[in-house]
Amino acid sequence: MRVVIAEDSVLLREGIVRLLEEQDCAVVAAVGDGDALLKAVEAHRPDVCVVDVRMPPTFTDEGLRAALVIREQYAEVGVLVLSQYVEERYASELIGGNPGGVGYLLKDRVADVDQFIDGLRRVAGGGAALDPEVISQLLVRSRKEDPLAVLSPREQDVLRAMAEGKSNAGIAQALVVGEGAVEKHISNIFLKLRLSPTEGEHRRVLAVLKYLDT
Amino acid sequence: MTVAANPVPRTPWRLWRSPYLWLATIHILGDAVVVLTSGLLVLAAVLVALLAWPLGYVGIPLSAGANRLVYRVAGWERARARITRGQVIPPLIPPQPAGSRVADARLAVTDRGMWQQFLYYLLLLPLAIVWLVLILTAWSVPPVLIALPLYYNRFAAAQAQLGPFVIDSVKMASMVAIVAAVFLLVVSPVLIRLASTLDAELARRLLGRSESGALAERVTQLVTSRQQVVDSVEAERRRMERDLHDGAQQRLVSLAMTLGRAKNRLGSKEPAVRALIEAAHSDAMQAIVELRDLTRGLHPPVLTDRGLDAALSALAVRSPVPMRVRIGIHQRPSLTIESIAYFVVTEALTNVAKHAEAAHVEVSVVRRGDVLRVEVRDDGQGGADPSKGTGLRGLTDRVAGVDGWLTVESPPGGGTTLTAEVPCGSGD
Repeated sequence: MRVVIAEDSVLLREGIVRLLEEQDCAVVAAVGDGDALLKAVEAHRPDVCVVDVRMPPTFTDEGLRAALVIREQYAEVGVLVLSQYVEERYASELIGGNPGGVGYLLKDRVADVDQFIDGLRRVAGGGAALDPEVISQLLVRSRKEDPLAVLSPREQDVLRAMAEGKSNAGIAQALVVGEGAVEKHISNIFLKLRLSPTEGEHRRVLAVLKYLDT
Repeated sequence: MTVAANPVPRTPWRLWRSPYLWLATIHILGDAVVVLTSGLLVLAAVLVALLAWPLGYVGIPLSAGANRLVYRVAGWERARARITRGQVIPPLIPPQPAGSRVADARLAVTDRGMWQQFLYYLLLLPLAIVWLVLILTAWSVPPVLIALPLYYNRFAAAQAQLGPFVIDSVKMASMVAIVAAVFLLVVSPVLIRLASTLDAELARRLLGRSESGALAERVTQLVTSRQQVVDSVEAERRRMERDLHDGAQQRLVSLAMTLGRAKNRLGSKEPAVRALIEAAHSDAMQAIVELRDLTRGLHPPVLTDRGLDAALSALAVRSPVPMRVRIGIHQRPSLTIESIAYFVVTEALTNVAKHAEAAHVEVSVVRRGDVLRVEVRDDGQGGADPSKGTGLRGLTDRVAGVDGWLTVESPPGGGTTLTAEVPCGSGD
């Protein structure tokens, strides 16, 4: 997996580079601001880039804007955005209408090496990795219009885990239930959200979209 | 506000015994000198200020400099009044630098104080001439006439001509001498006093600021400085948030990451060491979360980046009580106002969560013209006492700091409504 890193703090940048190299990822470029990130992506066409939101020169949402440009211009490049705070507004802007090849995590998730690498691989592979906090924020927003009120709390938990990009096995592990139970919940979700079986595996994405989009 | 060090003596004999008479004479005599020196300087300065201004790059600093010079010269004149008359004149306040050089130059030319002081010197010119004549009349003519009996017969035809009168005898000369002496003793001091009073009045009106003007000036100053204080407090919070973000937070994340890597590398070896590392790791993660809550409480960056709408939606997520947000802001107010409105809502929500036992809370932040209205309404048990609790007090102070107001309506059993309005006219 070829990775570009954009993080202005040298300390963290070096840390992430070492962490990724230990996990057999090739860090092809490590830069410190949005413009350099865009140049690096253009030059290296990585599988995924890890982007800090707050970078010079503005120290506001520099990284987020660069991430949006990458998502628009280089569809095949996954974008994993890291931030000290996750904001529903930023998540909505970032995901847009397409929760594929995108991730938005709290910075400290990096410290959980396995989960972080897992998320990074999902994003590189065209999946999603959203922070549980982002998901709950988006869920609250959705609750306002209540299209998911039909789901039981447990089913909402499962949907939330799905939105984080977890596989059935991952969901089962996270919720401490059997995989069979998870499958049952998922089919209930599809049923309640009226996603027909003909849509196949794609239904997972549609289900996630359903509540991100409301 | 003119305060004389000593009361001015009224009667001629008291005047004679007071140094006032001589100091006043010296002062009004000095007016002529002042007109010829300071007056010309001020005239030159005003001309420079006027003519240099349109010259652009070279002229702008010249113009502002000329304005300052007028204040400086007028300062000398106020000092002279204090020394000779004990008259304290509150100085006019020069225009405060507006930031840009062009604005400064425009201020320099249109500055009322400068023109007022210029007018003083302009009026002083004819006045100084009148004072010279007056001093001659008061102090020089009478002594000359008092001595008339001694020399009236030395003129041609042994007589002196005083206007229509012909003085040709000792008797008449003595009468003139007596009149002159009385004039000198009684009228001259009064004349000088009148002249000096008039002169002082002119200086007070034109060189000093009036009492209500001074008050207005002071209020303007206070409003400006308070605005600066409030702004700098908010800026300080933003700076602290950023410092923590760039410093401690990054370092902690880095620490947690290193511990995570150590944990990973250790794998299943050395379970005791691994347990230690895991404990350290989870401590570090906890510290990160706590620090994040702290910095967000200082100032959430999304507020600066995206405004109240985004920041309040994020609050809705964290609120333990289900919350509806209504935002009507077509034009963003200043950062300070946004920040204050945001903290009104957070504090209100904290109170709702702690005391109200509410099922729902509604937040509305609406800008109507130059007023930002914040309302937090819950359906809880009510009965909140705004005088209790330091949070609400601090909030009231913070709102008052920007000329806003805050009320809490909380009938027992009828929910609580907190309303705040802050002006945001100067918002950009």
